[in-house]
Amino acid sequence: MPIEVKEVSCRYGERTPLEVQALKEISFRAEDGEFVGIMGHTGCGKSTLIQLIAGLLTPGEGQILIDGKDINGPGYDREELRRTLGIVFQYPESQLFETTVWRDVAFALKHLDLSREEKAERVRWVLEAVGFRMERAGKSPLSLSGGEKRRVAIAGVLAARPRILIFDEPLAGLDPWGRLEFLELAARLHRQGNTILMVSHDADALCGYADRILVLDRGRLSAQGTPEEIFGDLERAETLHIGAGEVRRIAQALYEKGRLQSPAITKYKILLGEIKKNNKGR
Amino acid sequence: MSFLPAGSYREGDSILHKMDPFCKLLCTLLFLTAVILSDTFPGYLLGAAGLLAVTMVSRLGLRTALSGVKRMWLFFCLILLMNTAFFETEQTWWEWWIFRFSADGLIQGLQVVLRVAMAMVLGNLLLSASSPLELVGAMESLMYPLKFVGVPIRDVAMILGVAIQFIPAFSEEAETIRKAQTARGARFESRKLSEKAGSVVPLVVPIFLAAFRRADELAMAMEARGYRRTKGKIRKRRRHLSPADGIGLLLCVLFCAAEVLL
Amino acid sequence: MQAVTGKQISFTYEYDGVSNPVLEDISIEIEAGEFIAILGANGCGKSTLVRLLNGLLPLEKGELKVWNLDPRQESRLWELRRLCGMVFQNPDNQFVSSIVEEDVAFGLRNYDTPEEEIPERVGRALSLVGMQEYERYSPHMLSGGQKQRVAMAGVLAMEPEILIFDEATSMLDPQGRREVLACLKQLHEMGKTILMITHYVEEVLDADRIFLMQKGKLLKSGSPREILTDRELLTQAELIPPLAVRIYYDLKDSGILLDRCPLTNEELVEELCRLK
Repeated sequence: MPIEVKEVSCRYGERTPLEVQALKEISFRAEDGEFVGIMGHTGCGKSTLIQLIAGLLTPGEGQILIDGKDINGPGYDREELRRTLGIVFQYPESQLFETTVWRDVAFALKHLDLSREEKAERVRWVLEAVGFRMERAGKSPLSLSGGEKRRVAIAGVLAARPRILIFDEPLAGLDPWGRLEFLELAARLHRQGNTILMVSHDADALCGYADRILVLDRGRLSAQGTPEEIFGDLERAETLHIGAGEVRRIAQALYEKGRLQSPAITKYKILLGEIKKNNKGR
Repeated sequence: MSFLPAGSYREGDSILHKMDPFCKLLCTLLFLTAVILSDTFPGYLLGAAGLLAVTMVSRLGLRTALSGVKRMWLFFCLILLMNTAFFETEQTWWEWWIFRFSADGLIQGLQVVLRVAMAMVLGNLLLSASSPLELVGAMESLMYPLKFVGVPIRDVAMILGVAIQFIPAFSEEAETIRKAQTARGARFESRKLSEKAGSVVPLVVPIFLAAFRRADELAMAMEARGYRRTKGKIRKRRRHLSPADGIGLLLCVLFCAAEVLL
Repeated sequence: MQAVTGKQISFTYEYDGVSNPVLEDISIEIEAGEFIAILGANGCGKSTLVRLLNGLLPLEKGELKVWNLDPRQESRLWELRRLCGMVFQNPDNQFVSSIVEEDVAFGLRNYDTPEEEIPERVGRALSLVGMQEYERYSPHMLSGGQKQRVAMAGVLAMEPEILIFDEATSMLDPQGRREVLACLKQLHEMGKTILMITHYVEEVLDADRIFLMQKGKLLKSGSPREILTDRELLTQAELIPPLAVRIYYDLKDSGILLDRCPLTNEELVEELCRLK
């Protein structure tokens, strides 16, 4: 189910002095199983865009098609959207509300046509997938540590097995291990064939995992391409108001010293491989 | 990025913005009394005209002044219905069981609606044109006499001020929680009452928790900055009364008197 | 002069009737004017430690002197809190007013500063953080970095000696982080004692010393070079070394040895260029 965004514009506070044009004529397509990163300066419209795709906002103009169907069209079944698409907001732990972890995760399954056993199976599967210890599933979500709450909240979205997953700044507030664990989870979900849209400021993280990056700048889609294309030219990245990751900056410095053939390296493994290759036998 | 809710402060430099907050609060109270006291149509007309004038002076626009009023339609309908059906009068249109529908009742209902709407507009104007801290200070001054009967007015004023300043960040968070739960399958839009009622828990619990968490963090931040409950003296403000303040106050007194007479 | 001396500090936190040790037997010494980074994974007790310093949490076991004051001495707690200011994690949850200048003045009014001195001190504090033009703004209209700078101004107005940043950058975007770090550096140059809590290793490169914490214990204290170039130590603390250090070790593992372990990206490039 590809996502097609066609000529979408969106305004806030229409016909008031505070009117803000949040998005302007955005068009792009995300293929099945693609990992798309979304970057841009704070207030560039990233959050608006993903909420439009998740059907939580309606665009002023334009269309959003998922699997060829206009999600704001007449007769579109919203329940279908809820089943195919999951969105994890920034600091998702604030959505926890149930008395136990188990019940909170199962909340997403309430309206699905599943038997009791199937539901239990799903909860077990998803808690394992996010790395949450099953014996703690009877605890209150409030008694968990910050990192554990985050996992449970993500599990609460993944439980419905949506094929499209949207993550809004999922790394915010996590410590280094937490970040790594989340990125590994996202990569695993991607390998299993899910489509992933991930908003982040972390260029290294997106470059390491995303197939393609979209850049938003003041409500417009100002660039899209592979990480290498987006950060190939550092000056251009600067004009797009996005900062390159550390990997890319080290590659640039090495290139300038004549130690790399190309500076357009954005992935750690590739950088390491190139350095090794160039220094073999020395 | 969220749209400002009704009654949030909008910066400006109109006369209304610049008025002394205490004076402004006093004027509002006088005006409010006038609106509540008026019970004739010329009175309402005068009230509406007064509000329109204040709106124009404030340069906030009619939309700001009326924000929130529209959302009360259900409440207004209820008032109309109650008055129409229960007003004690001889001439009724139609009687059934305990209900007595009458034209007088309808008129009475319209009057109540009008008063509530005018009071809301007035409140909107006051809140939109005064910074919350100014208002808190003004309330503190207004409550000053209560100090002598042992009310910790500084704390009360502080709580009010903090509560007001929390509104923008908090309403944004509440909105995000609503969206997150919708995406997880909560059915707020559902027409079935049972589903609608059931969907309240996933909304209310996280919002409460968020409020507590915020309050907790803020309390700690305040303490770290030396806030002492019930200690510290009341802020003495020197009032800079401008001619506008005097004229405003005078107009409001006249207004109040006119409404009583009409 | 010693800014902080702590001996054998322990702290336990009770939840559900079970007591969990949060800090165990921590001893620290901080000189006035030092820039200390407290580094550790989430839940290692670093926030708890700094909250003991200004008496936000009660000291249970151990000895603690902050600017020669004992946090247990209640009569002087207010003095301590003025000397030892704190900026918190969530920029939205530390404002008491919806006007920047009123908020900055909050602390001053708590300390009964004469009303006529307030505008000047507020103005001075705001210009220290580069926010002097935002006096009449409402905090919620500002960016995350700006909000944190206003919060810093609110603390600076009270003219503290010690400034504590309790994960003050963790909720900010890269731009906001840069802004806050630049301010922090400038305050350090002015001679203030700085304590910064973080789990971003890139932010602590400029610190004079790092306290590395893990599960309530002070694992090691030392210079950024000592701490950050030790892969095993960082792994033990559930942290990830800076990129340059990771590359050094990964090259070493595959037989390419650099002369010394680089700390920054510049040093890494330098070292790589020296390979013949």
